[in-house]
Amino acid sequence: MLKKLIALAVPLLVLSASTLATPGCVEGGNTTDTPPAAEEDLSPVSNLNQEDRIFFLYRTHFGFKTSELQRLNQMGYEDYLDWMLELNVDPTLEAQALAATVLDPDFPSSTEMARWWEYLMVHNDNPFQELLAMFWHDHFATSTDVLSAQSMHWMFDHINLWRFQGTTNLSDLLYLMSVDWTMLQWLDGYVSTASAPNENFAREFWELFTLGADNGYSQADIEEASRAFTGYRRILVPDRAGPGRDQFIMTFQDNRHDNGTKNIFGLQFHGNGQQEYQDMVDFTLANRPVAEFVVNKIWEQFVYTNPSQALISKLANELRQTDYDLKALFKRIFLSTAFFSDRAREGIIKSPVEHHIGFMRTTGLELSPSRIDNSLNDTGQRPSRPPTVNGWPSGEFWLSSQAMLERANFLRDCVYYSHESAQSGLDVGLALVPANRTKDHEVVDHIAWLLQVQLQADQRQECINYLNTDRNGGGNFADPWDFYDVVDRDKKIRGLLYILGQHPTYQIR
Amino acid sequence: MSNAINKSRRNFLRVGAAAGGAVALGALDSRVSPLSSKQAHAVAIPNHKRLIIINMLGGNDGLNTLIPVTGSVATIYQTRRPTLAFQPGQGLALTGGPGVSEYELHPSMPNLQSMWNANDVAFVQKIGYPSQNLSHFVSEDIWSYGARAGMSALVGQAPGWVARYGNLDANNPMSLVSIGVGRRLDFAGANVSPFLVSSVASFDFDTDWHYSQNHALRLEVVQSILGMQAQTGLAGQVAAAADAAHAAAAQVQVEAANYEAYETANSIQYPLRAGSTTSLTNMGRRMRDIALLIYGGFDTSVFYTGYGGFDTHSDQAPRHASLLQELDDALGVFQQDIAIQDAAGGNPNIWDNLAIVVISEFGRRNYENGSDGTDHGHGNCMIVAGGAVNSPGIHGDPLLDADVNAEYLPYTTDFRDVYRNMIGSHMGSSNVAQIFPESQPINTTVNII
Repeated sequence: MLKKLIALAVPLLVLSASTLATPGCVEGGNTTDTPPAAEEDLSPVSNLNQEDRIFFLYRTHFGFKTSELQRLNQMGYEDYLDWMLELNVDPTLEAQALAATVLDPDFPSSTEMARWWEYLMVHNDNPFQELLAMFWHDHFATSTDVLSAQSMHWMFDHINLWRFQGTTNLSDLLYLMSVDWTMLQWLDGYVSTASAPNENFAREFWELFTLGADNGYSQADIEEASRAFTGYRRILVPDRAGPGRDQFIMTFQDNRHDNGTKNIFGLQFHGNGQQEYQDMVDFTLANRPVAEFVVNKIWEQFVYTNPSQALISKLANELRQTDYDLKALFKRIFLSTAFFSDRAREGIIKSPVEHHIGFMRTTGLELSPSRIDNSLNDTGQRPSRPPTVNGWPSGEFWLSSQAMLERANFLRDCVYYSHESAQSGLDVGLALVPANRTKDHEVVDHIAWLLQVQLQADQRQECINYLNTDRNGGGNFADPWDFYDVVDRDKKIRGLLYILGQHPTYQIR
Repeated sequence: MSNAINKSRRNFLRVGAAAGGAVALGALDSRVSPLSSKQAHAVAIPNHKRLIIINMLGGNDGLNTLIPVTGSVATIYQTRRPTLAFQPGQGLALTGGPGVSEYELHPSMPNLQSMWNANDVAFVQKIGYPSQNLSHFVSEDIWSYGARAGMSALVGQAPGWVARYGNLDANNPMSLVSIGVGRRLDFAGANVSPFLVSSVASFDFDTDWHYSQNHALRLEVVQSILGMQAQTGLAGQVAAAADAAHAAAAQVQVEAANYEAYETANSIQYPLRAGSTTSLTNMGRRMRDIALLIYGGFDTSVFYTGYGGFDTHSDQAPRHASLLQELDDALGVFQQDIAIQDAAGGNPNIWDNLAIVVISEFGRRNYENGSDGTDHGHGNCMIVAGGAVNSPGIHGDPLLDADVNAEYLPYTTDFRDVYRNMIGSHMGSSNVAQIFPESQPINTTVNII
């Protein structure tokens, strides 16, 4: 159903296979006969144990829930991957998310837009869909900052592009991105005309989206390519969403488009009207190592950073051979021995979205949409509001003083505010701790397992001690752990979640 | 009983490393209550060089900040801005101090005028960078990278120029501080987690009001766990950052309480929002936070702050006046505050070792648009203030008729030449060439300090 939204936004969408997709940069593969190290080994993994499956969920979902582990175990790993990568639309969830967060879907506010997506992240049974969408959103970053009341609804289509088409063919994805209305606004495509072509999109198309800085193009190429990216304009359509409810749309106008021949990469790029957006995608794919750039980015997001060139070349060549089938690429990666290698397990620092959404999903301590949004805003990563066209900073940048403190304060919000509203009376201890795991050390071990926190012996003991201690105005006193004391259980399980959520290993996925 | 109760911290914030012992001893214990103001505070470090960057986000109108009032340039300026131009005499005279007659200052900035009269202000005219970009985001990124070609000029180095400076020259936990401007790219890649906060007041751990006593215990257990046997690898890096955040929160809140007592005793009042008796203006609060951290004895080298609203496409005159006044009011109180700190003894010489650099991602168009505003421009003027200014006056090339007649004011001085002067001559770094590695198409040397 909602896939139609995208079709509506891009009326002339043609999902054709690339016509120019002869790879221009095939490199020699690894020719040695020795078996590759595990971290380079793309052969399918065999015999996944429970720990491996949890690792997979932890890396590709927001943390993990026991219900997700059960589904994975029931379906089997490969079938689960097929289901997960399909990015199906769940109409019930889509309706719930809109109802819970947006007053008027034709005229959402920027705040509602962020809350809407955050709600989906918390509630989607296929969290990979949202995690992947966030990955593409970060890569092809645009912000509601540039939208007005009459155009804010474009952001639904923009985010849904990543949510529903995130595993489609790369050529299609790049084309859809190029003519996405939010993108046309964000990078000035809508003011790029034959008489005054704007370089903004052309530059970022290569620098940030497909090739990387200074990777095989010149300023002259940018100027020529910007002539191809001309012709769209923004117009206000009166009463588009009902009487008195005007909305902006983007529309292509032939007379604003430069239909002359462009000279790019030393080759001739012929005028083809509106089709030049797709042509430029295919032209770039055919003549420059886009596959390498995109594969590397995906690998760094899901496996580990700084992969070898040989590994990336191999996957990039495969991507070209499958005519840019992203679904096949993702499946290949997630099935690989390398994905489960020790190097992959060294971990990646969680972004605030991964940290916050994951904690709520795993523990069920869910904040209201406004509190989720405020907290993500405080921590510096509000979906639909990246700081620049570069997306969000990553890695160590999330370890600044305030970022660490805001993570703690988010956990505090979860344990404190979830006493309120819909979550009122949530007995978190009863919800999370199995009936046969109620002794102090069992509780610590179980919650640590849920959060995949690796406790050292002295840290584990400190947590056990915490369950057996309380404090009043006179200071600390011994207060032996009693799972069946409802108030004590609630207080201390919440405390334990607050403590373990700040453990260094919980900041890593 | 939990270990957390008696455990002493393994790691604590290193403060005042350059001060030869002038450290905030009272604040080193993480268990100090943030509400206690009984701790003796450390005095500001004597002769410590400081740089404050203030970013006017959105593109400040330089022509209406430093106003041309003489000759044909002034006439052209007035013609191109029939409603927005200031006439000679409407601005504040800059004939004191280093004494110039070609320009006046925006009438909302009397405190900056006083600093000018005291020989503490330099303006740099026609500042910018090669191939000026009209996008806020792209232009801001260029200022943050300190490199026109972005990351390709910085292979193997931190993306942000502040981070590159810190990594080479100022590597303590409080060396690099940003207040109220988010996680700026300028700080990306710092080896030591920089202190990036929305405000000092917000830099504290919230409590769980349902179980507030128990929550205090939880916080101690967290700190205890962070201080235990070192985690290795990435987890170790995270542990160090979390540990630093806990230590900084405790210490900063102690100093915040100390500062508040000092502020009250000296009747210092930072500018209030219109109609409020308690709530400070954005720049008032941010300059107060900087004064607070200086008072607290932290060895910060670079402070970065700023405020938005300068994208005055419409209705510019009142908006621009109010924005400039917000900064000027805050700078005025800040200067008084620092003067009181300087007079308090210990010869910390704060003002004389301080440079305040006011930047913006670009200037605005030479002519006004149809909405009583101005659109995105290129070249701009930049302000450097503070006791460290050795060569007050107008720097950079003078405005020419052709400059103002063009659509965009050109740039003839690269902003990085000012940064080079600040980092090299002012902060005393010998790594300027590594911090700003790109060669300059226009080879100017700025000697403000």
